[in-house]
Amino acid sequence: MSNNNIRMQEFLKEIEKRIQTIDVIPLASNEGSIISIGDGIVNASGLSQAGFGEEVEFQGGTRGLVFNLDEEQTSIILLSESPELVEGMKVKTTGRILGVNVSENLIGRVINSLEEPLDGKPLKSGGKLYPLEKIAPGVIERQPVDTPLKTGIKAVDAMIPIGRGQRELIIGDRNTGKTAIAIDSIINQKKRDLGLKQVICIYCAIGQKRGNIARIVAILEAAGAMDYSIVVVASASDSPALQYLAPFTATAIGEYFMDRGQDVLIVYDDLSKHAWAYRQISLLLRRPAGREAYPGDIFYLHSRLLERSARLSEKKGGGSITSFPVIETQAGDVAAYIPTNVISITDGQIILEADLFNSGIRPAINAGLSVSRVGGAAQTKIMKQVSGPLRLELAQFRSLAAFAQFGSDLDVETQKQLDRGKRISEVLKQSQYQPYDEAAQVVSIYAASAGLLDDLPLEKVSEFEQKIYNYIEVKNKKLTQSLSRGEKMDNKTLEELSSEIDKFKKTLK
Amino acid sequence: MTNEKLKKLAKLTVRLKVIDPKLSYFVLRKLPRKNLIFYLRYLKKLLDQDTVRILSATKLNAGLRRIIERKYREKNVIFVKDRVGDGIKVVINDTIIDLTVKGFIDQTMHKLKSEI
Repeated sequence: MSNNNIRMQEFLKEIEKRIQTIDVIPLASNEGSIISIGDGIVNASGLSQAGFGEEVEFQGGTRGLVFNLDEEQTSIILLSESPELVEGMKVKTTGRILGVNVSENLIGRVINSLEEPLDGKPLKSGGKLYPLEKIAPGVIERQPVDTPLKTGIKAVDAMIPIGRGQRELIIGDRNTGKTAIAIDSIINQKKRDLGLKQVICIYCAIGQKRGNIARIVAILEAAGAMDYSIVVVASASDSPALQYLAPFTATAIGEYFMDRGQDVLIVYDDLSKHAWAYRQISLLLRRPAGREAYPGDIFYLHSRLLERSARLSEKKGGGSITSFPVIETQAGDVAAYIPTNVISITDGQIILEADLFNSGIRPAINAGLSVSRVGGAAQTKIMKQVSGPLRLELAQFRSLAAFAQFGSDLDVETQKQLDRGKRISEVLKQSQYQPYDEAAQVVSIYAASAGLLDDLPLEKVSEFEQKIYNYIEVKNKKLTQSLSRGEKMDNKTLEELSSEIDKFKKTLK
Repeated sequence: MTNEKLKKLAKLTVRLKVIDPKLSYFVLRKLPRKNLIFYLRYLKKLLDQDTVRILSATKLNAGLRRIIERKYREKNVIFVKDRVGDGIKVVINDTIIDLTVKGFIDQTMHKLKSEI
C-alpha cells in the first residue's frame, strides 16, 4: 500500500513538473454551422479558417474532411455514418490533417480506412502519426530499382520481372486472375527467396464485397501470410469517402515501414473502383465532370498516390514501397480512360486475358503486351540466362497459333516452333497459391526454353514440371544449392542440369 | 436576382444601420425563398464581421467590460450570458478564442498527452 502511495506521489510530481514547463496558449477554433446534408456531404457556412484536407469535428464528435472551399460555404465529406447531424448544427476545425497512427502493432490486423479494427480484436493505441496525403520522395532521395521482388509466379518472374520500389499494374477483365497474382505474390514473401529482406505486405481492398475480402483474409491466414501482412478494407458497402481514403491509408502505413528501412508491397485492389468512388464524391460536390464523368483531377489522384511508391537511397534508410495497382477492364478494353491513365503512371503492366483464362492458361498473362520497364535490372543473372528469349518465343507462338488454325499444311520449322511454344505455355501454367522458389522456376524454364522437352509428349509436360525439382533436390542437392544462389550458370552446371533433366524424362516415358 | 446583387443589397442594409421599411418589404415579399436565404446569410456574415461577442457565465463588471471594449474599439462588442463555466469565450466572426478554465485544462491535457 505504501509502495503504491510513493508511486502515486512520484507520478503526481512528474505531472506537476511537466505542467510547469508547458506554455498553454488559449485555443482559438474556427466554427461554422451546417447549411445542408445529403449523401455523405455536408455544406457548412463559417469555417473561414478551414484548410483543404483538414479534419473537422461536428457537435457530437462526428468527423469530417474538408473537400471544397468556396467563397460562401465549405463542403465536407463525412467519415462515418451520422444520422444525428441536422441543419444548423455546429462544426469546428481541428487544425489536424487526416492521418493514421502507425506502429508494428498493425501487422497481422484487418483495419478500415480510419484505422478502426475490423477483426474483432482491440487495437493498441500509440504509434507514429503519418498523414494520409504526403508529397512523394524527391529524385535525390531515391535510388534505382535493383533488388528483385519475387512473386513466385514463373511467368511473371521470368518474363515480367519486378523490382522493389516498382509500380506494376495488374490489368484485365473480371475473373481473369488479377487478385490471384497479387495474393500469390504476398504468400511468396514468406519464403524470403534468395536471402532477401522480409517484405511487409499491405492488401488494400477497395469497393469489394465483404465476402470476397473475408475469403482473401482467410487465404492469407491459412498460408501464414498474416504474420507480415496488413489488410486495409473499404468494402462496397462503405461510404465513398472511406473508399476514396483507403489507398491513402495503405500508403501512409507503407511509408512508416519504408522510412524504417523495410521493404513494403502494397496491392491496391482495385483502382477502378477507387476512381468510381472519387467520381461519386466529385459529382456530389458539383465539381465539373470531364470524360466519362470523371473529374478533371482523376489523373493527379492516381499519380500522386502511386508516385509515393519508391526505393529510397541508402542515406534515407534504403526502404522501398513496391505497388501492384489493379485495374478492371470492361470487355478487354485497355484503351479506356482510367486504364490508360494508370498504364502511363506505372512502370509496367501485367495484362490478363479472358480468352487465355478460359482456354486453361493460368495465369492468363498476355506475354506480348505485358512489360516491366524497370524490373530487368532487378532480375537475377541465372533467371536472365534461362528466360532471355522466352517472352519473344511465347508471343510469336501465340500469334502463330492463331494463324495455324486456318491452314493444315505447315512447314517443319513452323511446326517445331508451335510444338516448342505449346510446351513453354504448359510449363508456365501454375496453380493458385503455389508460388515457386527461384531454383524451381529456373529448372522448369530452362527445360522448356532449351528445347529439352521437345521430345516429351505434351500431356506429360505438366507432370514433368511438377516433379522435376523435387527429383533434382533429392538426387543432386549440390546442383539445387548452386541454382539457388542466383549466379549465372557455367557450362558445367548447364550440362549437369541437362543431364538430370534427361534422366528424369526417362522415368516418365 | 443574382448573388452579386443580393450581396450589394445586404451591404446597403448594413451601411444604413436601420431597417428601412421599404427595403424590408421588398426583401420579405419580393425575393424568392432561395434568394432570401442567401440575403439573410450574407447579412449575418457582414454583421458577424463587425461584431465581437463575449460569452460568460456571469455578468462581467463594468471595469472588465471597459477593458474589453477598448481592446476591440473598432467593433461592436456584445456581452452574452452563456454556460461557459469560469472564464470567458471571445467570438469574432467564426473564430472562437477559449479563455475559460475548462479550455485551459483541456489544452494542458492535450499537450501532456502529446508529450507522452
